[in-house]
Amino acid sequence: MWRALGYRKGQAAALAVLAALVTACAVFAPLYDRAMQQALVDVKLDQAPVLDTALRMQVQALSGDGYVPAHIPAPDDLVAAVPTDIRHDFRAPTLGWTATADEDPRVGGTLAGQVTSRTAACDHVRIVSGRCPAKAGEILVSTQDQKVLGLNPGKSVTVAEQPAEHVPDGQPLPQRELAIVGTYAPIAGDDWFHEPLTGWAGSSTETVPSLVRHEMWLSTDATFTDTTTSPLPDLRSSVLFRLAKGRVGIDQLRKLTTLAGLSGAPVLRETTALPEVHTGLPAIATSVASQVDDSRVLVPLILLPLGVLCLVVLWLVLLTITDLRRTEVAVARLRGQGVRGARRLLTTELLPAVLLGAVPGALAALVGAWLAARALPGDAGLEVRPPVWLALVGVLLVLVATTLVAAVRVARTPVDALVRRSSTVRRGWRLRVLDAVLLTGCGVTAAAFVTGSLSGPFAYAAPALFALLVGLVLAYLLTPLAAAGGRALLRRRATGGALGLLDAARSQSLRSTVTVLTVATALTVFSVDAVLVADRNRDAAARQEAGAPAVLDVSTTDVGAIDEALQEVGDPRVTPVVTIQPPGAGAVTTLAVRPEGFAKAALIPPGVLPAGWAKAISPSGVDPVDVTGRHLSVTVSGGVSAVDLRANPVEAVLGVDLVTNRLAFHRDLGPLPASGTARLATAIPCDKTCHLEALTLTTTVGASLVGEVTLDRVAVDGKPVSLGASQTWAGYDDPDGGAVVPSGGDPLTLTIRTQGPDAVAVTQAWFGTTAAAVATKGTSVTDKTLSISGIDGKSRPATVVGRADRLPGAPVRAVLTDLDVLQRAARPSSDARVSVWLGSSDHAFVERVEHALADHDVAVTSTRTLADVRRGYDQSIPTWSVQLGVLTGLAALGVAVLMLAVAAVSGWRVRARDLASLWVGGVPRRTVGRLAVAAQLPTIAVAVLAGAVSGLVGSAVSMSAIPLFAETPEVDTLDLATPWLAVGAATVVCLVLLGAIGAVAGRAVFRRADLDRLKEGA
Amino acid sequence: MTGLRVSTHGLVHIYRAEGHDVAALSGVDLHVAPGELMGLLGPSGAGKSTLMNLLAGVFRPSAGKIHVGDTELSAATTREIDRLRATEVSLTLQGAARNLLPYASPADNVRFAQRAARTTGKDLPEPLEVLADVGLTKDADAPLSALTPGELQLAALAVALAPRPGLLLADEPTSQLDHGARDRVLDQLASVNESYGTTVVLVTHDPHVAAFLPRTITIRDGRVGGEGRSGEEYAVVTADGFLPLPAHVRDDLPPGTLVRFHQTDGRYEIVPEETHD
Repeated sequence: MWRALGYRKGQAAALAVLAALVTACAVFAPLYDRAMQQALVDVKLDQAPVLDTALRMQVQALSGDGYVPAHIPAPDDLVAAVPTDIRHDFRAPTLGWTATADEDPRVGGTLAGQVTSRTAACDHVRIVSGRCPAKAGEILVSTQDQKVLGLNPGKSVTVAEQPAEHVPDGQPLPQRELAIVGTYAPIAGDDWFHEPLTGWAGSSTETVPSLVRHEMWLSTDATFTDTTTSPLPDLRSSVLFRLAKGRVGIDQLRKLTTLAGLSGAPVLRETTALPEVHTGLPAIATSVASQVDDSRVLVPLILLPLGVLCLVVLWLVLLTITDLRRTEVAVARLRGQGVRGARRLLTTELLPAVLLGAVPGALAALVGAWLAARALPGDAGLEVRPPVWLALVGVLLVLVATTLVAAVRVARTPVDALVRRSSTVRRGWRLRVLDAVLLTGCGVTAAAFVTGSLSGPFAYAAPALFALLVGLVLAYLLTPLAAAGGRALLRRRATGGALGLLDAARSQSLRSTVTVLTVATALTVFSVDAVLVADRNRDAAARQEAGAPAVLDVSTTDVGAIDEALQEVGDPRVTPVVTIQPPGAGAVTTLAVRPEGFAKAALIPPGVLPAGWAKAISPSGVDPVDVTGRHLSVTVSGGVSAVDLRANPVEAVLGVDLVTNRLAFHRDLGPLPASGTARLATAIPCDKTCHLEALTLTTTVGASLVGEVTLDRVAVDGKPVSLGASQTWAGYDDPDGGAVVPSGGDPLTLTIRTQGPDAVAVTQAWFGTTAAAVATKGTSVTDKTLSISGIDGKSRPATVVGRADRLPGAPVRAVLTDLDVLQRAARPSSDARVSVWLGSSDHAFVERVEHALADHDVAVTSTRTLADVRRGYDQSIPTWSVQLGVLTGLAALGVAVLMLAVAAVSGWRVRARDLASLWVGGVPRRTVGRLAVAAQLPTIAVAVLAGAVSGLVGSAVSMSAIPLFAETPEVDTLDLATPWLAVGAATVVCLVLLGAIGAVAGRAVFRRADLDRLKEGA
Repeated sequence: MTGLRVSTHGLVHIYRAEGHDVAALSGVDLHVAPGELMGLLGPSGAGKSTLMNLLAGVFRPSAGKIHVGDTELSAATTREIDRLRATEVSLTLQGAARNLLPYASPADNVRFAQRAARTTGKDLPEPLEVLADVGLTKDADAPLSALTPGELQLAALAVALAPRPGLLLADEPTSQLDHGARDRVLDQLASVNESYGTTVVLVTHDPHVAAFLPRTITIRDGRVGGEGRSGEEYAVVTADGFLPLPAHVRDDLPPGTLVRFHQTDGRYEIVPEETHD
């Protein structure tokens, strides 16, 4: 056996390499799949907030009408409710008690807040003064409590032991003393699960105006469990399990989905207290599970074409090799060994080579998976689980079966055919059954892809199927075409080209070489295309989602404070952005920006926003009407007839809307005269300048106003104020024909004709009653107007000055408008998301901005860079699966190289004999050499180009069905355009590499084309 | 060991090719006595190799019967023929390399050739003993690439003799050999024939080889065209009464010539009829 293997080392090596590739594909798939799953778990757990990856259980004492201190399960009892095997996945639990610690307001108490005890609480705060509480009734207060509320160590506070609502008015509450033994400062980090301990000392409570809030007091468990006193109000016991992330893999995560049912545990179910279980782990597990389901299909589908390609090449090589052993089979048959003996002769030589190849193949898969696992995020290691063994056994069975079938095929050849010297290989147009079946199968499947009948991950199979279809057809066409072409050239005496084509037509391996090269090139081209398209789409989605290279969310809604901080930074690439996202699925999000800064900071893809958008949404050049002082007066002349529905005269009151520090307020000046002149006046709180937003007319609902008044001699504290030209005032206009039309200017005349509304306003143009906005194409717009949310959350009209495909950092339905226009009469509501967008994610730059904001008391609640968002897209099963395509492409190219080498090795003797015949027949040696080198190049070129086209067609059909994202981004940025440069480069690489191999093989055959070859054939 | 008797009766073999059939043998009657050493002569395409393959059970005859020993090959099953080839009938194909496993030494080749026979329980000689019979002992374990063409042919002969067959069929065993190697191969064949009584039938083009053989049969146009015994050439009357003319007579009697047979004193004369054009 070994001698036989050693005799044809090249063939044995080819078999071993192909077997290794097939094995590697089969074994790698489950290993990589598992590594991806584990990596996904690590990523999801790392990305999730600490509270979502923790298990928090809490029970709160319930009290009825009469206050009865409730007995609630202790934290230890809660721990026992968690199954032991699940507890193992968490770190040691943090046990705690919490209760209300309010002073009694009936006896002059002023403090309200909470007191808590936690396992090793003092280890997770900084003791600033004093010591850690050691016994019941001792507390630590925060440094702010000490500073703001004067709670110094050594003092005591007396807190109520019952809620005030359970004790009749007039009676004092039962009380308990708590001794202050020290002060603490919180330590930033996850230790308190992001539950703030401080930040509200001295602020008023919402319920009892006389109480001010103290911060969280830290105490001992004994304070809560002391049976000698009544329990404190609102007593809660809790336990917090923090996930031991290193211990949790995909299997454990699946198990943790049972936590969703933990609230049904007996200890929680039987208590009279209110149980609460919080964990985000089941949701994370569900999210992971959906991607894992995809990966189970994706990875095999990506590797299957490569594996099948390797198997097909192995089969072709086995056919060639077994055909080369026909003489040896004849020897066995002539010595009476029969079919079985002949088969044994072949299998004892070939099977060891194939099985030996499986060993390095499996090892390569292990090493590859180990490297891949290291490249993946998280701590995913190599896990050899039952599916791996199953794959290994399966692939070994396939390899053995393939070898046996190939051996039997030759061993069963009739002896008379074996002893014949001439080849029995048929050439020409005879369609073999297997090829016919393959052609039909590929054709039907390809048609299914084209018509959209097949979709999803199965799309990964499309390029290989297309290529196989094209390759097979091409293989069948090339032989007769090459022969016909060769004969035609021969008639024209173009001997060189003719002999090359005739040589190709004679080649026994032409069909298989063409098919394999076509499929391999298609896989390579498709892989390049898929990887680059996926990368581009992830990038586009990340840029869309991020909005800017770096976005800092801030806790304040004071844009002025942000402006002051950013002035210090002095960089045009940083700008504030206010996002208002109204509730509801179809709501339109408002993105309020400063156009100039936004253009520099935001990631705006070319062509997405309409040309001139910045100017279009910028405020008009009208100056505001500023008033500074305390007394506003105006002379009104003319007259207004004001009557109600019954024609009774009513008042029409002239007023003003003023805005100071973005807070709007209204003042009535007085009733308009029916005729003549009147001097109207009102007090205004405008020591600091106010902007005059609008002139208002108010009357009774349903009343009619008709007349004309002129406003003159407007003054504040006696100083004249110019109202400006009438063009700077937007009149009132209603659909029923009512209107207030301004005219003139200093004095300003208002022509009034209204019926019905009780209040109308003429707005000063600086405030822009109608904001200019760029709306996304997903937003429905009527007559270029729509209602948008102002930064105060209130609806306001907007004029659409342009449409955008999408807006950076905004959902599908969104408008882009000017921040200053929106905030002239409004302040951002608490629901508004105020952020600072940076045009660079450079760490130093981000830090500089953060420091500047901090210097102006603007707290940054989160910092998110484009890289962070991109990482979110990159770290997913679809991404890792597509990246596997690179490996597939490279391996496919390697298989093609191997195929050429095998074809050369197996057919070199016949080709060398042909070349020697040409030489002896009078063709110059140099010409023969050129023929040998160039003979395969046309075939290779045709196959590679056909493969490239197949890959592109396969891409075009399948890319839209291939999952590029774990979850489809809300805003569609899909762009499946072919990266022509890269695809072209990949095709050229295939062409050059395979052409070079073909040329080298031809050269090697030529060197052996001597007279000895001719003797062999005698 | 005794040689096997070989006989054929009205043996016909037709090659069926696409579009047309070719009759390679058209009624061959042949009788080879046990232990006989004989040669098949004839021009290329006459059907010699076809006859050899038929005798070895490689081809099935289109018509007629073949008896090898007690076995009627034309009626034997594949298994019976395999068994016969394993133990009793050895065929050596033209070109020594076609009879040998290229990666195995002569000894291993002999051992391989005995594998099937060994399963039948037949008493077999050691490979070295077989190789000694053909004078190849010193190269028993040498790679085939180290052997001369003559030694390769001897190795092929040893492989054929490995199961101690009763019938050895050798197709052109001396082609492409120099005189020395040729004589050595012939000597070994004769030695085996003499020592073990093996019936030996060989095909040759070589007149020297033919002269060496006690009996030769010439196959011409798919029929037995003549027989030579101890240097004397005979025409052979076929079972259906045909008498092929010797080659040198054919020039004088072209096809279409009318002849008369005259019997005079126990002798036959063939007299061409004069034609009047």
